[in-house]
Amino acid sequence: MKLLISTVPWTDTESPIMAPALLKSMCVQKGIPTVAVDLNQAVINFVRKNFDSEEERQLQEFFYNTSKNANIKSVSKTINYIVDKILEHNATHVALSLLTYTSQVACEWICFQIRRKAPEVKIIIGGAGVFNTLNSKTNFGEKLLQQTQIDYYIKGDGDVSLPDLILKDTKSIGVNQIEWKQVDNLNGLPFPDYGDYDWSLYKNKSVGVVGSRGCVRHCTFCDIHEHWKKFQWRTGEDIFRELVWHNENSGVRSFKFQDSLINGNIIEFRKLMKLLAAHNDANPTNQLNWSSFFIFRPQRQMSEGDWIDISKSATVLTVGIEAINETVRFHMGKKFTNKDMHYCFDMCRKYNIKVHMLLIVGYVIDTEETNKETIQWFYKNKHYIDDPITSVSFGGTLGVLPGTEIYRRQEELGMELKDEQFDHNWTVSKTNNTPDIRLKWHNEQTDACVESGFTVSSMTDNHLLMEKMMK
Amino acid sequence: MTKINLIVEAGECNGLMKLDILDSIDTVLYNPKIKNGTNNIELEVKTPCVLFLKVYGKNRNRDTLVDPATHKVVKDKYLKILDVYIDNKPLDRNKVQQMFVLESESKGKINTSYWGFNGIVSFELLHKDSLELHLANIL
Repeated sequence: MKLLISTVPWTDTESPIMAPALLKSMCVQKGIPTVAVDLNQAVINFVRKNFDSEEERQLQEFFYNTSKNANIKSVSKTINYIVDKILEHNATHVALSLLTYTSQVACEWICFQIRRKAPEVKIIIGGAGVFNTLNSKTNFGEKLLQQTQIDYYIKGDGDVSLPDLILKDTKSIGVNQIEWKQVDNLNGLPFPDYGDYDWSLYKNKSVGVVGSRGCVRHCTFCDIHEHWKKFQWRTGEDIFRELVWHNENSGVRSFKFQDSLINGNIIEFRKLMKLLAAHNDANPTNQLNWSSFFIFRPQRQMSEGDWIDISKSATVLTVGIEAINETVRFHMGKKFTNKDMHYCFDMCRKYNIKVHMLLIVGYVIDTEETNKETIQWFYKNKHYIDDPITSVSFGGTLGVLPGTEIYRRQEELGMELKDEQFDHNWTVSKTNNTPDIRLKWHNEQTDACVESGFTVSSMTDNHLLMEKMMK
Repeated sequence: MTKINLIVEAGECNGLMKLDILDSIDTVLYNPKIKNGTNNIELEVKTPCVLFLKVYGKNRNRDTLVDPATHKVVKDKYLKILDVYIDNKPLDRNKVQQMFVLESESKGKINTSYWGFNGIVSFELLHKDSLELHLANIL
């Protein structure tokens, strides 16, 4: 028995993806010979090396959304490259980890080719990407299972289900079914094993770390609680042990937290910051640093002393501001005022902590007035350009995801969902909040952001979403 | 070799349609026994190739029953393609409905997956590799 775990393209990153390394450590602990590789990055590099920039773009669009412009030979060459890389390990079981829905297209054709070239290999797929896409609410795992293109799909925490499945427990909860069980305790689990990763592939050699799963907030637009019912966290000491272990074993000094938010448990976060601050003060030539999603909190919860500790190790905080208008933000469930927001920005500025700011355009109670307020905010707050706000990301316009509070309350909120297959096609007639208007707001806010001097960060899947809305 | 499965529905009216599957040099490769209802016709072919599906055995004066009151067809002798699998993976069903052209004896070319006339349907498999055959169907 031999298990190969790999990521699946296309995830737009320059950093190693953690899931295979994490799953490997759990499988090895159960005695399963396992290799973990990050083929996502290998494929991105392969495409850059073998195709021109136009073909690269077409391939990326194909893998994101089955764009029809791609060349058959280029797609085939890329899929065969991946499959040959997988099969060279002679594994009896192949587990493919889909970070997001943008891995589904590649996954479908990788599985097809593995089945043809090595029909005896058991194929397992898992990860958040197995489920919804921009275009479909169908269960992708179930579809491939019915087509006999895979043997199993895993929903939820693969930490336990995957080794159990390999060890023949095919009826384990979370296997070939929607129901799954969260891991009880994140503390004391084996650390991710990146031993098989090819570090020469990455521009950014940071290592992924999980400090928590789930979220302490209940934002109305977010479906995280559908996946992670409980917020679970590791102690500051346990996380710190892991960071030091990676540093001692591979020399890595940069860490990228995979959490929804690093400071969900403020007590443990504070402990971690103090441990890191002490470590960095004592080791000026081997300082550890991290980046993560982060929530802004009021001053009474995060004092200036906390910010000083954070500044000793933080590089970039990715913060879901989501709405500039305070009323809209509170309606979303974000519990910080404009005063809190500016306090946090000022602290970041004072202590040289960079912020990547996330915004949603066109929330359910947004209006022309809130759109104008957002546009003006950029012009009024130019002093935050690059310090601390290094980039602003408009995550498309609001999609109404099943399992969210706004989806459940759509009638009360006056929302009409026009297309159950496309989360972004909804209207609030009373306030003229329509897809076309939201697209206009998106363009106006982006233009204002750029014109005022902020850097707008843009992702390919966001472009595809905008294109789909324009249709 | 590439494995092709044609899932074909057959309707009965004074018997069933007949089907011959020929390669491009007019050699009958398969002469499947069609039964009433759903048929799974499995072929192994070397690709690229063009297959010709010869549909015959229908008497148009006799093998379609029409209700004289409503002018609706109540019974018909026909073949209808439901699905196509290449190496065990189905092609997109919506595309399958549009990919066949029947060159009929009496009505000329008809773009249809419902074969209610005698004629020849060409089925182009223009790539060697079955992955590329699938990709050609979606790209």
